[in-house]
Amino acid sequence: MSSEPRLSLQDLEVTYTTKHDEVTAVDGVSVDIQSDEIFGVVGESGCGKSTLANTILRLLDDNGEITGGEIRYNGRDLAEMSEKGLSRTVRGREISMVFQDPNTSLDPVYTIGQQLTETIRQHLDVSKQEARERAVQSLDDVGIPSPADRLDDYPHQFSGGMRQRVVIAIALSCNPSLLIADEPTTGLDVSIQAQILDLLKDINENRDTSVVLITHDLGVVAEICDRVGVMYAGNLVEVSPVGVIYNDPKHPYTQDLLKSIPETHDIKEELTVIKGSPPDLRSPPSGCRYHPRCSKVCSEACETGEMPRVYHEGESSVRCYIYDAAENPEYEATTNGTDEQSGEQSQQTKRGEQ
Amino acid sequence: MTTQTQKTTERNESQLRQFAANFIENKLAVVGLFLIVCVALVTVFASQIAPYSPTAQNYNAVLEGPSMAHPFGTDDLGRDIFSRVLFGYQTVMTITTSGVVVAFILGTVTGLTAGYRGGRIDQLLMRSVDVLMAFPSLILALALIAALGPSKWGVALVLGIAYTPIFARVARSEAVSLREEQFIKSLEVRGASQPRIMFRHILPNAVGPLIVTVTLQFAFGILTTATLSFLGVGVQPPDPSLGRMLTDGKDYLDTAWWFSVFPGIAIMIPVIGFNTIGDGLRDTFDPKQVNR
Repeated sequence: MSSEPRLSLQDLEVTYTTKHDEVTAVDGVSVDIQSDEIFGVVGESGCGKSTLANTILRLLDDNGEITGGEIRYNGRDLAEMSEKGLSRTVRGREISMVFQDPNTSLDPVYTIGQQLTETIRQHLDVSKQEARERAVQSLDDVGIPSPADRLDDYPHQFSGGMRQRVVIAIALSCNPSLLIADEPTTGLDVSIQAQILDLLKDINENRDTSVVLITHDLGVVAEICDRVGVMYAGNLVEVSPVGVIYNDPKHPYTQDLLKSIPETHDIKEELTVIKGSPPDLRSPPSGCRYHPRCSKVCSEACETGEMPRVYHEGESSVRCYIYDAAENPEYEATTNGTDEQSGEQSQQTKRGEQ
Repeated sequence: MTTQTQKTTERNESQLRQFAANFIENKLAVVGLFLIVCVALVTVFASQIAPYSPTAQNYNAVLEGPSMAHPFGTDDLGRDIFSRVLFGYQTVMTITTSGVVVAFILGTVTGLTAGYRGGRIDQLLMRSVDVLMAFPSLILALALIAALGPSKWGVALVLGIAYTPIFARVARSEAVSLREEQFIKSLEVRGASQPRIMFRHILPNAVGPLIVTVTLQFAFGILTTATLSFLGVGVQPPDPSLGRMLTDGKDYLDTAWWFSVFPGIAIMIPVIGFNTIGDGLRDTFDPKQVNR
């Protein structure tokens, strides 16, 4: 395990103000992104995944505001940094972002070479010629055939998958140490999706670049992530290594999510679904935000208490009263002791695979 | 390197050719283009084409009808109307061009800033534009000229101010919709500066509607310039001015029709030309027609 996390979110809280209400879209999120990992963030629509991603680079809409917490990156708090300093030294230079739809992520009136060199020359002090060489190199890195020739092509001359590669090439052109990918494969067909995921994995392995992958697709997570954060109603309810998420999920929400994945090899009579819908964040439920839909409500605190704090369980951190000995008397008996080891093991086997 | 540049220019050329092909299909717009090219040539080469000086008076040939010597006839001071029309074009085109350029620059900068920045800046800028727009442009022009005093460059400045709101609105509406585009957001993510995003990325993407506005405003500009001269507050004599000739000629309508009819037709030609080009360009820029 590396010592210093690359990015560390501390009790992050983001609030959108509308005419009538205040909505806390991200509430008390704390997580460390390590320097060599692909960190997945999963959750339903509207649970705050994209807000979380946008918050890291402070790209919230005008009515959104960071109302608490810290974004520690390289010893600085991005939440406190000036807009100018952020643009000059962080955005596109140290932290890059890739969006969902590659078809609209590129300016249609410039060639991709112009767009690549624009970003390169903005952040790095290089001549036009050098910038062009770097641009060719970036395109080559993301697997675009005959990159030197394609530099002068316009975005509309590329296919969707190629365009996403170009977008990733631009994001990587200044060697960022963190890449945030917000649903990078959503608009693409399945075979292209797999290629883009492989590309992200390659980048993570061959460069010193951590990846934060935002997705609603648990399959994508299983494929490439090292650790996963599960979001529900603005809370990060569970953070676990990917093996734990699939084999021994800690939070009832994660468990329910996994049960609701249709399986092709083991055809069930009926698909399990999570009943109800995510809560209205204008007035979030008291106690644990998942309790109205939770099948494992264990104590009164779930319904009426404070929001559960984060409990550390093996390598996982979970926001659930199940892991609070004071609230849940059965806790000691069922899970204590054994888990710590199994978590360790799964981590080791995973490292071994790589 | 050279082959790459060649390829780029070839490709740009082919896109341009595609655009030209779409434009040429619109016959009316081509007629308009032809008219404007004629007017432009005549304007540039006025001193070479004109048979007489626009201010030379000839009391032996007062109010003479069209003839070989004077194709458009002569006016009450015996000046050749054809020559005066040619030089009148020079005046009106200079004024209109400078006016539209001023309006384009002021309006586009205002509109792009308002649309891209949004919020309070948007409110402030666009409400001022609304105030300007609330005045009918002719009344505004008259008031400004009353303050500035009538002169050629005064008229140009007045046009510039009077037409700024139109450019500001077009630019703002484009900026507002482009601001939401993903590529603008990803430019922000890459740390591009605001002026860079506004002028290097939003402006080129908004250029179609702006060009259409430019051509249409040219038509209005010519009309307004002529109107101001007609009312006697525009270009001052002895500078030849098409609107001025209309006023002078109206007293002789029953005896010397050519005195005001030819200047009138002369005003009409570029106005029709710019209008049809504007319509043609608007159709060509329409994304539904551009087959990429």
